[in-house]
Amino acid sequence: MTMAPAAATDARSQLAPLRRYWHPVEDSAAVGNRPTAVTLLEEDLVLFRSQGRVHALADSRPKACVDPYRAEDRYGLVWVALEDPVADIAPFPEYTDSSYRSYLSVTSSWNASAGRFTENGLDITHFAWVHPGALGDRDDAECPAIDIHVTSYGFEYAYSRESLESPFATGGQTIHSRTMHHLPFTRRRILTSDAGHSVQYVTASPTRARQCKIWMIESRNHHVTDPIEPYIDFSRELLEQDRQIVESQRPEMLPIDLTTELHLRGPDQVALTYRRLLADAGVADV
Amino acid sequence: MSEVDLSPLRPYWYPVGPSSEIGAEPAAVTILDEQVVVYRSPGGVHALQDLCLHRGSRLSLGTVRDNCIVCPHRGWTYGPDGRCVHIPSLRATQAVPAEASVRSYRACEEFGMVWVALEEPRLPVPEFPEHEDPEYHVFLAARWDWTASAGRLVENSLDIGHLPWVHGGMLGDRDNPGTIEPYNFSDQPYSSDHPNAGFTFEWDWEEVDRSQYGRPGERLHYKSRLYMPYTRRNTMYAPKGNLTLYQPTLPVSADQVVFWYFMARNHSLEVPDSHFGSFSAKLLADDKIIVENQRPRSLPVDLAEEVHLRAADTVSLHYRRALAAIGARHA
Repeated sequence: MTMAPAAATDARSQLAPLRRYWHPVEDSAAVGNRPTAVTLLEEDLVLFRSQGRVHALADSRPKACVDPYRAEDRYGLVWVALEDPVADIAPFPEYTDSSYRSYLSVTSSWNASAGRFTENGLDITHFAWVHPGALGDRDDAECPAIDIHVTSYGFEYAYSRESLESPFATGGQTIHSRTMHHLPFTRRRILTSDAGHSVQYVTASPTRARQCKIWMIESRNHHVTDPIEPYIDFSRELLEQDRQIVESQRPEMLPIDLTTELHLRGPDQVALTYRRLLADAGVADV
Repeated sequence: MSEVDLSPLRPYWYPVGPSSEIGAEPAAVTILDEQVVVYRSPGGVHALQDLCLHRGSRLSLGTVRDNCIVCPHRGWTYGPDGRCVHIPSLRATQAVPAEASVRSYRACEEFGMVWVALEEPRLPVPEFPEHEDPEYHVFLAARWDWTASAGRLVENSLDIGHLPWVHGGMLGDRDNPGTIEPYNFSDQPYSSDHPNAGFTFEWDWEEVDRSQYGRPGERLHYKSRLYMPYTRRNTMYAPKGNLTLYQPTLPVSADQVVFWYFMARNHSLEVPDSHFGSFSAKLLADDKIIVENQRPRSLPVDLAEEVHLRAADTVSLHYRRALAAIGARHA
């Protein structure tokens, strides 16, 4: 969707607090010596590589006049920060751990804000409804006890549930789920079963106010010789189920004002923590 | 389009679809920019705000269970009155919050259509007596979606002056348009508190040979009825019998309209419906091009905004005055 110039300026200023964070913008493998155009926070950027290092410039002005933006390759993605970043890129130690097998599982563009995408993935009570059979049971959808606490980078929470049959585990096992969420849009979730650890590193790029690009990188230290296609198909199917619902949410941007939507004590504590921390960080609706 | 205020048009019944299309699956419709979910349960048809209070998800993507609609996102379950009756993530001992209630709207079924009113309707569902008359055969000829305001559509449908011009060769003759003069204007008071429920007028026309409705040289009599704000019923009285067009109209937004085109006749029952349907489809295709290109898209109710002719624009002037009487400045 293209916006009128005035609307684009409004959207840019609303998104301005997010300029102080690292955001993924492209697959590292897609950026070579030739310029690659990407959009971040309603701003057009050009990426290119020289002497192996990745660079990011504003794509709107003569190149000689602009200072480059910070750009980094990390975990197979190119990350950009438009201003001095207030936090590091969310760590993903399993990605470089040789006992784990890691691979890019899913990437796609959504007609949803990065905030709506992210909150949906953080909130565990949607599993039974959006992914019935795969991640939950509609007849047994009561929210389990969640242990949550705020950290320097965002927050962390954990809970346990009984597994359903899936590529991650056989049915009937206890799965321990621990999520480390790094503001604003990156989570690392470790699912631990008898077989070992499965890690999902999920990040969203706020390309525009109401659009985002998402990546899910998976990593595990069990079944490392299995073909990865069934795992990828499973994740892709789940994310497509999410997409249909999340793209329908209104307002399109996650309302930081807690009176805009109705929240439940208990089941919504993760979403409430997320919204409060965004507000504390000076971020408007995202 | 934010300067266009459609709120005076809210307290009326609007069609949202044929009864046969509102079934087990919830349907998403937009009425005057408001997103509404319509669903059928054993208790009848229901209409609610198409937005779950919890996370703003569309209820129309959900499912119907008993008399309720279940949000696709986290299973919040709303009854026909809009009250949330069940939240699956809560423990059995936790009560559903009292404020968990979405807007509910009146919904009913008449004449094979489902109708919804965003606010307490000021008028009944527009009449269609032929629908219940055993002498008549009724069929739904078409549904049309136009990028135009409902006001522009309806005014064009009412305006008999355009017929030889837009439909020359099918209705009338552009080289010899003559004058078609409406008469017997009559305002229809349906309720004492409603200033203008609609109006009727009549006109006569010598049939030209290319129309299917009469025979060359026959004099046909017409009666048009407008049920405020947007539904038209038009009957043609020919020597061989009567043909009624019933056009229930849904104002989607200031520049989108959906309407259905019913035809009812008490003659030529041996002729296939498609014969009548395809003739009107050709006429409407011609109208669509003209009406979708009118500017401004919203019908300006203030008579100073466009130029009107005292005689030729009698019907338009009547319609715009009726809209003004219900408080509409745009339609």
